[in-house]
Amino acid sequence: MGAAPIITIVFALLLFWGILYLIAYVVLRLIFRFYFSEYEMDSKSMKAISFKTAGAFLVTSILSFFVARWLFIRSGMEKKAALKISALWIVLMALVVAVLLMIWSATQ
Amino acid sequence: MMKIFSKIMPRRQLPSGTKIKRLTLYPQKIVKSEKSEAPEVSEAPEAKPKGEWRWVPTKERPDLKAPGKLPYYKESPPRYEEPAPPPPPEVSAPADNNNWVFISIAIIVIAIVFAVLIGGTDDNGGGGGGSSGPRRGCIAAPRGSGFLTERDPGCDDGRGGDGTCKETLLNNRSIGNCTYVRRTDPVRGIDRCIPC
Repeated sequence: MGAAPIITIVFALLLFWGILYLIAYVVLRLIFRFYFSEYEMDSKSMKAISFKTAGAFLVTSILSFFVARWLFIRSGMEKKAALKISALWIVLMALVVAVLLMIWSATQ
Repeated sequence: MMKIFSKIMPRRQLPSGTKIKRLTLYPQKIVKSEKSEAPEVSEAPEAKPKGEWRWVPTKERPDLKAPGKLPYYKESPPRYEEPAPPPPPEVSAPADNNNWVFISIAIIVIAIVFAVLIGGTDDNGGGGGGSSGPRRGCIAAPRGSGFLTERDPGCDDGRGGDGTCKETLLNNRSIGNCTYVRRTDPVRGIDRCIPC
């Protein structure tokens, strides 16, 4: 196998990672704004958590829930709330990705 | 979109007086920024950073005004020897270049000779394989017919030929599945009847 397919795969993964990161960031902001309003998080931490969780979502899919939960606990959230928000976040992300995939496959 | 989202997840109304907890992954930086925002009342004067220097005129320097001290400007700077000019770049021996040129020319010549030899050998289509497409310029004779079929004018397989020796070869040789043409043999330098 030459270098071209490897480069293509790497770039495709980076592209998916970027898209997932954006989706995760938007969903997380919305969750904090509408549902977990008793918490406040700075944008930098939110971006870092979104970036790491998007990478985990790309590799492990739904198991990235554990990564998200660990990151929320590390940021100072209670364990119960972290469980709730990470579950909600991953489910919403999976829904958005599924909807996007359905739209994409319908247009093919 | 926002309305749909707010319907799915209605905004929670927090009771008044609920303390909002701040979450962060970078607690130290937040603390620093908060500190910087607060007004600083008593603060020590800024220490000069190390390594910073300021030019002081010679006249203002009391140590240089001493009678036994020579003026500062008379201190001649140390002289440095000029660096030696770089050695001239070594010119590679022309013999090596000639060798490589000779070798490459020899390889090209050998390749041309082999190509001519292979291209000039008689091939009745029996060996060699090659493309599976139809052979241009050669029309297969029906098996057992004992004669060659007429072919298109000229042998257009890129090797030339005039088609004048069909009958001769028809009489003298067993017939393959290809017409024969007369053309100059590149190896022997004579006219031969060879297959297209």
